[in-house]
Amino acid sequence: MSKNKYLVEIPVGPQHPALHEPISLRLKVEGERVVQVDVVAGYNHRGVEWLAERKTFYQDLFLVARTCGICNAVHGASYVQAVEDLAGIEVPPRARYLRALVMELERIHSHILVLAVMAEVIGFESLFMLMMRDRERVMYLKELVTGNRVHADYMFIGGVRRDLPSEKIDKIKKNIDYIEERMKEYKKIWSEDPIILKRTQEVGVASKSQALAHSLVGPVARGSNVKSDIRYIDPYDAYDEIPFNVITRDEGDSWARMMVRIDEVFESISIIRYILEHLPSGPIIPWKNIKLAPRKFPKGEGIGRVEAPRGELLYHVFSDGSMKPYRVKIRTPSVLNIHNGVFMMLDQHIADIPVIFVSFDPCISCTERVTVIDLKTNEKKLIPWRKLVKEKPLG
Amino acid sequence: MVLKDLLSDYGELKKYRKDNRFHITVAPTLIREITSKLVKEYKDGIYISTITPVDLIKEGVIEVNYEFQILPEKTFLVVKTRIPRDKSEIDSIVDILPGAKVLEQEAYDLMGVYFRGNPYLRKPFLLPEHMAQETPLRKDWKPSKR
Repeated sequence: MSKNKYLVEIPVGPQHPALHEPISLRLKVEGERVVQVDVVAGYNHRGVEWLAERKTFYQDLFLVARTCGICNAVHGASYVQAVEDLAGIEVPPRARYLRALVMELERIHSHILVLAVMAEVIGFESLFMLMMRDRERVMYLKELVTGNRVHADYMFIGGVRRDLPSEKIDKIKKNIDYIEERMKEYKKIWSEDPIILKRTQEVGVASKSQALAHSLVGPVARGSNVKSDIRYIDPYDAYDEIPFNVITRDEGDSWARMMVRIDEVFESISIIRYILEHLPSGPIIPWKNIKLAPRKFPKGEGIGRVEAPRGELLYHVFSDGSMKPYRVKIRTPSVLNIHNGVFMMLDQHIADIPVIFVSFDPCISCTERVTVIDLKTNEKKLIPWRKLVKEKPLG
Repeated sequence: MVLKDLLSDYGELKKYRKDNRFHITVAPTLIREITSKLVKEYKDGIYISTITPVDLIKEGVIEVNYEFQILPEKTFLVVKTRIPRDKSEIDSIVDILPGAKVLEQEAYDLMGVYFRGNPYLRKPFLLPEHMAQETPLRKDWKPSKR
């Protein structure tokens, strides 16, 4: 503990227009340095796992997709993979490729979103607006393939719910070319702009062993040179046939995590091009009619793992042989990255906390009031912001 | 050393439907020993993916599934153990793998599995304040009045 008389607690969140999710960070600061971070979660706890045990396997398909708004297709894909693993259902090749296509579109728009949010947090608002404008093209493509701009509800047990007519392929190719051109421009900005570099480089550093010990996943782990990508270590759907590179970087800082995402957008674009050129023909579900799909599933367990835009998404489904699952465990990547990643915020400046937090892929807010803890008496008192700015400095 | 030889003392390593996914059932007292052995063998190549507790009410036990990803071998390992429902306690592995912190917190909050030696456990963690004493993922849980 320092010689200072006061340790100030700054509650960040849970409500703020810039926050993606309602989460609260309680920062204990000593001057400008953060000495302790407590994550307070649960503001948005809806009991999806409890609810999933009380609905049928097919109803759950639409429930689990609503766990997350941004990456809903991967939630569906992970759940159906677990149920297929449980029941031993073979997915037709065309459906496996179409699933990968939608998941890659989702990865592109999710990565562009967080890159845009990071630009906004840094104060580069024109970049935020340009990137969000271009993200809209990807949303259009997602609507073109799945029928919905945000909630795709594209996955089905055994296959997908919609086929892709050949006349749409040219439209996708045209828009993908445009996005690739724009992303080249953004990559240049992200690697050369002095303000972006100063704000993100060497901020919130995690070494390779730290990233593994704290179970960090997705671009956060890959930014610390961990080759952890479920598409590569546990291939699913069509990923064992599609050539792609796993992007990693050595730096381990916030900038590396953002650059991993930029390079992954290019990888996703090349994956989409491959899929469109090698799309197999044939059915999209293994049965002649969707009504022939099984109503009951055998006793046992199934595991579904996919590489969501934020990292490994895992579903563990248990069945007792009835129409409803016995237990559905959902482990989203943000659970690990947010709760276990806070060690990167220690000994950093308060101003860097938003940058580190956004580099995990959620968001953060400013503060309205502070709690002051008197270290002699251990007494806490709340001071309104207005009073704080009028009074003489603390300590 | 391959995974099969490493865990040969603890029981039979069974395969899931997919070739790279395995599971093994062990006694709850062996969890710390197995985790330490895995971390030592696969240094900088293993992380804990999740902890899945399942309430098997008919058998009167809670099955705790520890799920590890081993990166160099591209293998997914589920270590299963069973603890009694009425005394649902097990040793924490948070000092061996810090990544288990939030997974143990969540399992304690929703299923009531107490992890001995985890200083971060608190209730409620995800649940609202009025449900602080409740464990909603247990099969005999009924919603209480607020």
